Amino acid sequence: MTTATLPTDVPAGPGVLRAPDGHYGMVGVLKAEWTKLRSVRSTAWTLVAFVVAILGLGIAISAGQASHWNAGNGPGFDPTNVSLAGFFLGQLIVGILGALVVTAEYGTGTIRATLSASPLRLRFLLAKTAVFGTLLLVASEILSFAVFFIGQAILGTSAAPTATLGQPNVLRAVIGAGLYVTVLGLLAVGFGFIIRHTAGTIAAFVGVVLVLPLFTLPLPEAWRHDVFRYFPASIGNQVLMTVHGPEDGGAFLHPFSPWVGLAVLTGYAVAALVVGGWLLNRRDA
Amino acid sequence: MIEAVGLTKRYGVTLAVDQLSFTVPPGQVTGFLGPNGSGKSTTMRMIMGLDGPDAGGVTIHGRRYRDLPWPIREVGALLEAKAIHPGRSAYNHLLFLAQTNSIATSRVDEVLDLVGLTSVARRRAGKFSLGMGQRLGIAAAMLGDPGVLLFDEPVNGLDPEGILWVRTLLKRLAGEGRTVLVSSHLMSEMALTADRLVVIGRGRLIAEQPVDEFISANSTHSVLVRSPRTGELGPAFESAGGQLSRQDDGSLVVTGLSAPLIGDLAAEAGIAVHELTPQTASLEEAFMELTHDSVEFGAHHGEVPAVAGAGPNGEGAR
Ligand SMILES: Nc1ncnc2c1ncn2[C@@H]1O[C@H](COP(=O)(O)OP(=O)(O)OP(=O)(O)O)[C@@H](O)[C@H]1O
Ligand SMILES: [Mg+2]
Repeated sequence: MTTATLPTDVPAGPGVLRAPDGHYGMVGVLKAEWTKLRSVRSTAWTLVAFVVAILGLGIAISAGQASHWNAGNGPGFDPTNVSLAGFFLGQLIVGILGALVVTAEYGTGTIRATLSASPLRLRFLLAKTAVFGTLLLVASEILSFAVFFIGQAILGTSAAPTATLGQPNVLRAVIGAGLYVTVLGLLAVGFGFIIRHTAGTIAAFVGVVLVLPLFTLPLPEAWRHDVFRYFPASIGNQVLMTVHGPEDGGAFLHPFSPWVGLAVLTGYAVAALVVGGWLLNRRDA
Repeated sequence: MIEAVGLTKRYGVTLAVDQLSFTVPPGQVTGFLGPNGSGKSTTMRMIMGLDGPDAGGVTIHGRRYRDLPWPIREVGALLEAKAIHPGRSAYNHLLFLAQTNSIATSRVDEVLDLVGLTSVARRRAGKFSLGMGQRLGIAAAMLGDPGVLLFDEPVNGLDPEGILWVRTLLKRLAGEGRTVLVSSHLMSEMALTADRLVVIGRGRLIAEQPVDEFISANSTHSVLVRSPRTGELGPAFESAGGQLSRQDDGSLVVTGLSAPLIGDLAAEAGIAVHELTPQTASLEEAFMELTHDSVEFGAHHGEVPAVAGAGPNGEGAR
């Protein structure tokens, strides 16, 4: 920057930009949140990681099944589930992205600029949630369908069975996979508004998604299953499965059905966002 | 017009702002002056609705900040702490702010040009120098062409040319009828920029008055006296109503008596005087005198060596 070219002009008096009637609205805040989301590299990099995880794992595991196929794997084999394997890793990546879109505001101080322009804080929270949720939903549904078709094509090169969208539960699993990670991403957004620090938010998210379920293992057999089904891990399992045999869920029985599970998970995300919004309104920025 | 009434803010046990009431009228630069930690930034955050007061309130044109229909078209602020994502470009930072309040995109380029950042507008703001960051903050404040502007230590990190530019800008903005509140802990800076002062110490209001009134009300006039026999002169000055302060080098600083009177008193006593120098306290001293008892983080409360005339411009104090 050259200081020599500093202009000394300032614009003419107040009112040059006459404000329209009414009130700043949701549309502007939505646009602003989209600008924020697309204008930092972390968004792009995290999305790249998400794509690589979903496609990479889906392709690798499908290819592995195809090359080691033997007819003994027969009845319990779930070709849809195999192609969607990357979503188990993908759920962590959306958690990180969901955390970052909120905690980066706090970590960098952008939150003060944001709330200066949108002092109605819940409007900001809703806009951020909507924009991020939409981006995540579109990206993960596209990926889900893409990896499903790619995975089936790879399995089709061997004698392994393949799935089509018309078969029972298959379309539900493919759409459900995208919904599952989207809702998890929004859960992370809610955690972000509550915790406000990146590391803490990611730790809480990983804790709920991966670590907490492990603590159900020592619980008495009689009610372990009834507890476990409330965890995202169990819900995710059910959503991504199309073949529900007696061995489903391994050590855990009585899971929620996929749609009930997604509804429960959505309830968690909404609860986290409500608590986050309540705190956002109460706390100093 | 900004009106604060009984503003109070506590952070844990720290009483950051204590029953603060003041007004900031349009058409003038109001300097917001106080030592470090006196609550200036906290007050500005409360004006912006970022921090909630524990008691009292503050309005802008009679409205709370959160009730403003187009907030950044009405109030622009450069706050103390950086409010910019280091990975986002200056352009995109201003763009999202503009979008929130439906401000035309062309205005973003206009304010970038105004602060001289056009050539680096697409670069990541994290690479900006302190001064460039400050300019971006000023651009953000100007974005909505608001009638009310808050600047928290705007010259922080600017070079002399930048400081002059900000001073000119503040005066022009006020000259256009806008309400301008600018904080500083440097009295000398305020003397050059402000028309009015709101002075606080430990979160409390100490003075609210025009700058010239503040100076004449608070600067003490004293006279430096050197003589081989100051010990004998002292009582004569005291009985005439003067206050004495003995310096280490044996000289006397007399307050409350004019230089001619001191000369006459010495002549009456038949004592030779080697030096008789009237001293005007600098603005900085007037300020320190006033906030003396309310300095939050003062290193010591020792004597500040007296310097005649106004303090140097800009940097330096404390
Ligand atoms: N977010 C916060 N949490 C806890 N204490 C705070 C917070 N913000 C300010 N304080 C405390 O409140 C007091 C006033 O701080 P403030 O930053 O408002 O002072 P200031 O006048 O702006 O000082 P400076 O000239 O150094 O910028 C200080 O004691 C400070 O430590
Ligand atoms: Mg400050």
